Order: sequence, then structure tokens, then C-alpha cells
Amino acid sequence: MSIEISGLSKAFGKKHVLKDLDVTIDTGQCYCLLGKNGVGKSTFLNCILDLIQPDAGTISLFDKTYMLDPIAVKQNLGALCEDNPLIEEFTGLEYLNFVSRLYRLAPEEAAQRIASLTNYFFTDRESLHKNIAGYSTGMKKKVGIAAAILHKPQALILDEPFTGLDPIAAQLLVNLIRSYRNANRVILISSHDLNYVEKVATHIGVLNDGQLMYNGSVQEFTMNGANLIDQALFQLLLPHHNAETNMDWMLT
Amino acid sequence: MDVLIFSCRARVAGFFRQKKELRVLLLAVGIVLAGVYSWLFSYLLKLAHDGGTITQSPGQVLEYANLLLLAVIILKGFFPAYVPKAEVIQRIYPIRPLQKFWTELIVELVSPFYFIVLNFLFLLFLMAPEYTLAHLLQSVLVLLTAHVTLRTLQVFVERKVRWHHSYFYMAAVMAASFVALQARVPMFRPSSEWLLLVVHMAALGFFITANYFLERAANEPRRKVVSYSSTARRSLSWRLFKNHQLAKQMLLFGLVFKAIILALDATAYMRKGEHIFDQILSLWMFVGPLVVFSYVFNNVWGFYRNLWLTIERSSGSYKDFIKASLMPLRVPLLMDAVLTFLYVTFFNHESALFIVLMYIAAILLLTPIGIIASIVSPKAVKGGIFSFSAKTSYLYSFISIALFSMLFLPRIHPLLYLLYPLLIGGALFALVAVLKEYPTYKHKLFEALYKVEA
Repeated sequence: MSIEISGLSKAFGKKHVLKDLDVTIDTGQCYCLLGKNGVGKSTFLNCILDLIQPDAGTISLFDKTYMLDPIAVKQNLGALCEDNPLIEEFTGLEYLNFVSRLYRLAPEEAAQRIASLTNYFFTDRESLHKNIAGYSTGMKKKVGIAAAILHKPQALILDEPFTGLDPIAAQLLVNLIRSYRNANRVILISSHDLNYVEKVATHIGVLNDGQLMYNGSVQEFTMNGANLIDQALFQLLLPHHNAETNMDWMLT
Repeated sequence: MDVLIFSCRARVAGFFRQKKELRVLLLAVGIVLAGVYSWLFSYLLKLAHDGGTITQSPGQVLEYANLLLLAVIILKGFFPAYVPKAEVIQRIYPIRPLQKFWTELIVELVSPFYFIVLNFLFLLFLMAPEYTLAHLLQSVLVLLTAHVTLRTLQVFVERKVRWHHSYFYMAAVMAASFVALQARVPMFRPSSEWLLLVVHMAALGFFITANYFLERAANEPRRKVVSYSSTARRSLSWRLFKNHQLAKQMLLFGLVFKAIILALDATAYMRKGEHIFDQILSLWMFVGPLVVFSYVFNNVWGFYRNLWLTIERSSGSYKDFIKASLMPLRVPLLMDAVLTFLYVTFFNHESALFIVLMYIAAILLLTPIGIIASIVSPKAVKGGIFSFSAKTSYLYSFISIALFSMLFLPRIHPLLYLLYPLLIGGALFALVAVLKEYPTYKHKLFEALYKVEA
């Protein structure tokens, strides 16, 4: 077992975003969390990252909890947050060096990893010497992903990793996620890009109304490939959706 | 230590990486200004020491210097635009909270602004024999206290405080210890006794500890709360004001600050029959609508740029653009005007004509200047005027302050009211000229507000 969540609840004011959620994500899985906008996917990930304090419930990563050993949990966790907060005064390379120091990587090891990750994602390496403030959304995202993976965490959590990436970078990320997944690691992704989810997911969780409507393997979700993920998701979330809502005004 | 040194070095390098010449020039100007102010204070200290010319004692002059330091450092975090607290190390990284706190605190202090302030203090120490080493160290403690006060306020603005958490109680106890010591021996009051310096250091220690516990009690950011309204009649400007938590807080902070200054003057008037504004002329600035304009025209493009784009996409007309610019101004200006005119009605009949004319002239002057600045030098605001990472237009900030200052010239002689129509006419003429070029400027506006990706 790697990520174990039980009884997780969180409310913002009167709105209960997560209601007594139980999930176990095992090593070897690439678990993709799906759901409509504002359903609480990022809140769920932020609770796992200890960025949001849950109202109730326990979260343990590799049998360790934030309560008992927060440093050990974080050392083993790599994350790309929703708002990808980088330090804009730093260059991309400075930021990655800074992160490597936070994880206490040996300088030579860090330099080697940074070089390989930046070579992988950036064709224009010159831009890595400029302030992050001037980067495009996609470039910032690539720096954020590189920072998340730099210390080879056992648990990798990516919130909307494909958003803002060009098709080439997105495919590179798909390849990276596939090769990163192994029997000792766990990957948790929240995404709306179902084309890419289809390529990386081994397990799916569908969050709706504060609870998991579905939690299981991709095969089961798509009925052994009879449906695509988007079709399966549409059927699950909107079985009675009236596609013929009065939109006539738009047609004429 | 490795993280700290790396962060500080990268921060310094970051300041000078882009627009290097301009930033070096600004730093040089800052150091020269620090020298000028040091000389000014050393001259005042000498006058105070010799006696006769000024009524204040050297101790009082040094007290004013420390208070000025305190006020400037705290206010620069809020004026003309709110500067968010730097989150150098995110919470996802495996760094102990205490190490994160110290690293961030020290990295925040590595800035050109503090460098200039330290230059001011050091030059004052060299120029004025009355300003001893103990005074210098005490001023450094005041500087640190002001910075910790600023980051405490930033925590309250940006984070959700867990009021019932043990960390908050510990922060409250530590803050109470700081306040108790300050009430007994205020830090800004100069003293040559080294033992008192130890007391001040202890007070600062309490305050820093309080700040640390407060941060631990408030580790979640505030969520944006939007007030939905089903009534279309409710004014959009009211909703813009109400729904933008940060803008609302900052404006209220500014207005409360103004209210305190007006209240102080009103109290002095009630007690002695004299206005403190007549003795300290610079305080007249706060009677005008500067606070509101400072916020609206320095923040409007940071906060409401999407409103501009929506209007620009829907009609593309400069008239709608002006409407969009003025929309966020209405509610804060109304509040400011009510505050000012209440003060005039009840406490200041003597200067009523001046205040009313100056206030109206300021609106007529600063509104076109603000719109011109927004078109000609659009900036998505993130920092304050004294912060070198600021994105405020320095040029237009100084132009606005200079023109606004000219509205106070009638205090010297009533004939100088004749300047008002000239200034307003000039601003309106410049606005018309700029609006004619709006179709050209609007593309630059988009590039500045929304970075165009290559």
C-alpha cells in the first residue's frame, strides 16, 4: 500500500466538498482523478499534499503520516500544484537548483538530473537562463514538472499536468509518466485531458458530490475497452443529460 | 544554510538580471537619496543639539527618524499597491517549519529597499556625532520590528487564521509579551543604554516568535468568496469592490488609516482649538483622495484587467474603456468623500473652502492622469512603489504625486488657486490627445497586461 486515505472530509463554509472519502492507491498504479469542474479534485490533492487542513480523516503515505513525520512524508513526495507557484525572480535553472537543495540532493547528482530533465523538456535551453516571470504557461508547467520529479519521489502527484502544454510537450510528459511508473511508485493525477489520461491511467477515480462515484481499474471503467474514457465518464456523470436543450437561438 | 545562501544569492541576481541599467540607476538614486536624508537628519540633529532654532531635542529628532522608518516600511507593503508576502519555500517541500520561517524572513530582507534604508542609517551614523552606535543598532531593531509587523499584517490579509489552534494562542502570548515590553520601553524612543538594547532585542525576539506561531496557525490561504447577486440592479462597481477580497481589504485599510489621521486632527482641534495639519503640512495629503486613487489606478489593471478585456472585446471603444476604468472608482471614492466631508462639516470650517476645492480638483486631475497612465504605461501591478520588483509605472506615480502636490500651493497664497484650472485643463487636454491614439495603444495594453506568448 502507498497512499491510504480514510474518512477524509472537508467543507468550505456550508459547502461540503469532500464527504467521508476512503481511497487506497497502491504502488504500481497511475491513478487518475476525474470529475466535473469545482467538484473538489484539487482540494483532494491539496489535502494529500498537506496544503489544506482536512476537517476529518487520516492520510498516510507509505505508512507515514503528516502528524507523526511530516518531513519524511514530504521527502518521498513530488508534486505539481494547481497554481504551480514558482519563484518568478529566479531563472528556471536557479529554481530547479533551489528545489534540489530543498531535497538535499548532492550537487553533482542534482546537476546531472537537472541537465537531463531540462534536455528532455526544453529545446530552447537559453530560456532557462531568463527570469521565470517571463515564461509562458507551458514553460512554467515544464519547470514545475521537472521540480516535482527531480528527487525521484515514490509518490508523484500532478494536478492538471497537461493543461497549457503543447502537443509535443504533452506527449513527452505521457512518455515520462509511463516510464516513471514502476512497482515501487505511485502516481496520482487530476486532469480533464481525457486523451492523455487514456494513455497513462491504470486506475480511475471519479469524484462527484464529495464522494467517489467510481474507484477502480481503467479496464473495468471502460468495460474492457468497449467505451473510451470520455464516453464512460459522460455516461456515469450525466446519464440523463438532455442534449437537445433549447439552443435553437444559436443555429439561426 | 545552503538553501538560505542560495536563495539570497539568486534573489540578488534576480534583481539585476533584467533592465540591469535601469535597476542600477534606481539603486544609485536610492543611495543618493539615502545620503541626502542622512544629511538632512544630521543637520536637524545638530540644530537640536545646539538649541534655539528648533524646539525639538536630539532625542525627539531621533525618535521621529525611527517612527518614520517604522511607518515607511509598513506602509510600503500597502501603498500604492499591496505587496503579497513572498512564499519562497512552498509547504510541499521537506523543510522544517522553523527553517522555512528563518529562510523566508532573511530572504525578504535581502532587497534593494532595505539596502537603501541601511545606507541611510549608516550614513547618518557617520555624519551625526549625536547618533551613536547604540542608536544605530536600535534603529536596525526598529527596522526588523517594522518588517515583522508588515509580514504579520500580510499573514492576516492572505491566510485563514485558525483562531482556536494552540499555535494562535502561543502567538497571542508572545505578541502580548512584546506589547507589554513596548508599552514600558518603546523601541522607537532612542536610548544610549546598552541594557535597554538587550530589552529591545528581547521584545523583538518575542515578536518574531509570535510571527512564527501565527504563520503556523495560518498555513492555509484564504479562499476567494464571491458574493452572488440575483438582482441586476445592484451596481457592478459595488460588486467589483465587494467581491475582490484583497482590494476591499486594502482600500478599507487605507480608509481606516485616513480616518485615524483625521480623527487625530479632530481630537487636537477639540482639545486645543488647533489643527495638527497646520503644523505638519505633509499630512494634508491624506485629506485628499490620494489613498483611493493610489489604490484604484495602481491596482485596477492588476485586479480588474479582465474587465477591461471583456469590454475591449465587446465594443473596442475608448468610451467603454473609460467607463470600465471609472467603474471601480465609484464606491471607494464615495466612501472617501463621505469621510472627508464629514470631517470638514464637523471639525474644519476654517479650511473648508480649501479642502472642498482641493478635493474636487484632485478628482478632476487624477482621473485623467490615471486613465492616461493606464493607456500609455499599462502595468499589471504586483508590487509597491518602493519595491524594485514593482510593476507600477514609476514615471506616472511620480507625475501624479507631483501634480497632486501642486494642489496644496494655495496654502501658501490664495492666488495660487489659479493653478487649478491650468492643471485640470492640461490633464484633460493630454487625455484627449491620448484617446485619439487609443487604437494604437490598446495593442500595447494587451501585450503588457496579458503576456503574448511567442
